[in-house]
Amino acid sequence: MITHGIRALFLAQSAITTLAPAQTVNRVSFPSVFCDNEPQGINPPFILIHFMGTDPLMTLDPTYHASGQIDSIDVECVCWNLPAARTLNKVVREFFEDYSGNVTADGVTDEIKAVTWLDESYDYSFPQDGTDGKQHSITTSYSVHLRQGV
Amino acid sequence: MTPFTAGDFNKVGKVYRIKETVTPDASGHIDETDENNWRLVALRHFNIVPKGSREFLIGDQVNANVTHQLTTNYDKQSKQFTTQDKFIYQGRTFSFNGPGINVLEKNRWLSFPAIESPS
Repeated sequence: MITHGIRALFLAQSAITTLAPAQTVNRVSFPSVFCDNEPQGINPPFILIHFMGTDPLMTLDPTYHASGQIDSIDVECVCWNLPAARTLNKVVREFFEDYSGNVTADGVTDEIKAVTWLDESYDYSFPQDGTDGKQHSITTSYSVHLRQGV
Repeated sequence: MTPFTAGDFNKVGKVYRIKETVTPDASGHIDETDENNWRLVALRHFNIVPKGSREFLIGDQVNANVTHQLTTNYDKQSKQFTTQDKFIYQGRTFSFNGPGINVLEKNRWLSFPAIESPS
C-alpha cells in the first residue's frame, strides 16, 4: 500500500518527526504519522495520510504500461493551533512535493516518479471527548506518479 | 442512603488493556481485534446497568452510543481505567467510552459509560 510507504518516508524525516513527535498512550509508543485515522487517545500534533484513489497511467511505453499509475493522496496535518498546523504542513509539503525515489512497505517497493501538489484546504474540529480545545487541520492533496513493484 | 451497596457489584469480569510491547503496524495502528495484543490488568466486581435510552450526558454532549453504565469500587487501579481499556464479562465485551465518574465525589465508586460491542 503506497500510504504505508509514504508513512515510512515521513517518519524518516527528522524535520517532520520533530514537529510531530511520537506519543505514548497507555505506555504504547505511537509514531505520530498514521494512515486513515489516528488511534484512540492520540492528540495533536499528528499527520494522517489518506488514500483517495488511483488512475492508470495511459502510456504505450512498455516499462510503465502495466505498472504505472497516478495515486491521489491527501495528507492532513492536525495541530492544536493554526500556526503550528501551517508550519507542519509546510514542512511536509516542502519535503514531499517533487519527491522521487523508492518507498518500501509491506515487503513491496514502489518507485515514486514524481509528486505534484494539487490543492490545500483548512478545517477545524472539536474533540469528541468533552474536553475544551480545537483541532486545526490542513489537508493537502497530492498527485503521486508511481510505478508499482519495481 | 448510598447509591450502591456491596451486593450491587455482583458481576465479576476482567479489564484488559493493549500490551505495552505491541508495536504499531505499517499504517501506525494496532489490531485491537487480535486478543494477543491485549493483557489482563484487573479482575473487578462491577455493577452493570443497561442504558435503555442509549443516551448519556457527558459534558454538553449527548453520547448516544453508550449502552451500559459500569460501576466498580474506587481504588488506585480502577482510577487508571481509560477509554483504551475494555471490560469482558461472561464473554461480553464492554468498551469504556469515557473517564470514570467519581460518584458523589465520595471516592467510593467509579462509574464508566460503556459500549457493548460484538465479541
